[in-house]
Amino acid sequence: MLWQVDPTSSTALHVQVAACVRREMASGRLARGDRLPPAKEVAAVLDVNLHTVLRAYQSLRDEGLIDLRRGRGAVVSATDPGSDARLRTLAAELVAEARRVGATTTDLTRLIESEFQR
Amino acid sequence: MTTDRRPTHALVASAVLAPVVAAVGTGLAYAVRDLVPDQVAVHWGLDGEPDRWQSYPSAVVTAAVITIVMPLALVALAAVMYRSARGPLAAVAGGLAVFLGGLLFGGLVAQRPGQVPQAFPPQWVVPTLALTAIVAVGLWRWGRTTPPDVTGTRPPLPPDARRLDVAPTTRLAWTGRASLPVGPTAVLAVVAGLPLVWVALAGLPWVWVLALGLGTLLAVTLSARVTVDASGLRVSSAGLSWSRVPLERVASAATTTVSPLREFGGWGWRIGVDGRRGYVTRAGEALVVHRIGEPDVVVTVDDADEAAAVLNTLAARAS
Repeated sequence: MLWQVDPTSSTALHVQVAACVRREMASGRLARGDRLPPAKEVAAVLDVNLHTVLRAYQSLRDEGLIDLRRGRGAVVSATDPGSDARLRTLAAELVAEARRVGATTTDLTRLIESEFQR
Repeated sequence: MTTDRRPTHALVASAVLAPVVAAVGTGLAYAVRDLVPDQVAVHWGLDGEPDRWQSYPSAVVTAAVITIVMPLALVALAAVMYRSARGPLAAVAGGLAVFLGGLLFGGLVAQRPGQVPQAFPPQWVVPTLALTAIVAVGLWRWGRTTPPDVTGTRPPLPPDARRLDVAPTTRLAWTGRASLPVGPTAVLAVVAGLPLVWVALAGLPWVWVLALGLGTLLAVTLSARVTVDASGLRVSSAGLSWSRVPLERVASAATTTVSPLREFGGWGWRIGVDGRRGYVTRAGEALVVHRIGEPDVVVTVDDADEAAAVLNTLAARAS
């Protein structure tokens, strides 16, 4: 799978690493039960700190996309990783854009609610 | 450009070595002919007891013929293969000549009247194995071609090479796996290993260790990790590197379709009939890395086009 991080970007590195996994899920190349490469390997090929990758994997676990088990590594656990990951990515992009234009959480929530009521 | 002739020289040396080993063995057999019984054991059963006997002169001739013919058959095979395969095959042929000569002639000349003949007389086994290793490693090193110097001579990437459209500050990497199908391979391994199990049950318990060792080796080399990053391409299984292509030696990368049996004569880490090196686990899509001044490296991975694009992008940045 493809890994890309831009250290000059304002987005934190671990967020970018997690985004690589989500993008792979969204494109359907990672299915339930697939194993992610060990964090150590990802850290080595991207030349980033191991903790950066572990943090990315932990955030993916907190989102319910992967399982982290000792000895088994990171395994995709979401039943529909594609849709879950796509929504997550869109939400992340929406929040990033909101921050850029200065919109608050309330503004964004109101916007989403009004979109649901249409 | 002059071609590096060392692989051919190493192969010629291994071809010369086989008759030399046979001649030395025959000479030794002639020198000790008065100490050896007229009838010598030439074959042993599973229990270690000799079960076939032959007259000493004809046993010596048989040993000489085997010592010459088997390595030379390998040399003949290497001669028709691509040049870069000659070095490794020279090592195997040379090692085989020493191994066969040492054990066959050793097994004959160690036989004395009144003693039980041994298939592997201990005083011959250890020196033979040591000499086999020395000769094989020596020929392998001799037959290794030195890759051409690449400093400052990097040709530009071909314009049709697929690349990724990303900011130059982006760190790019690609990870994948090439794995042999576990089920069929396990079945084949068990079938192939049955004779070993039978021998072990028949009374040679150390064969269990051999079977276990081979099984572990197979399990470890069953699949390989493939990574592409700023240092180049790496194919490895459990820390054992099959291939490492530094980025500065990458001319370009692309995808190809491979047929393991037809192009590589099998599965796993292979030298192809055209000299390409490959870790091939299945037919179909594969990443092919064109190296500067060396044969291509092929790895069967899914999404090979993406891996090729990452490698091309990184190579273009480095030049």
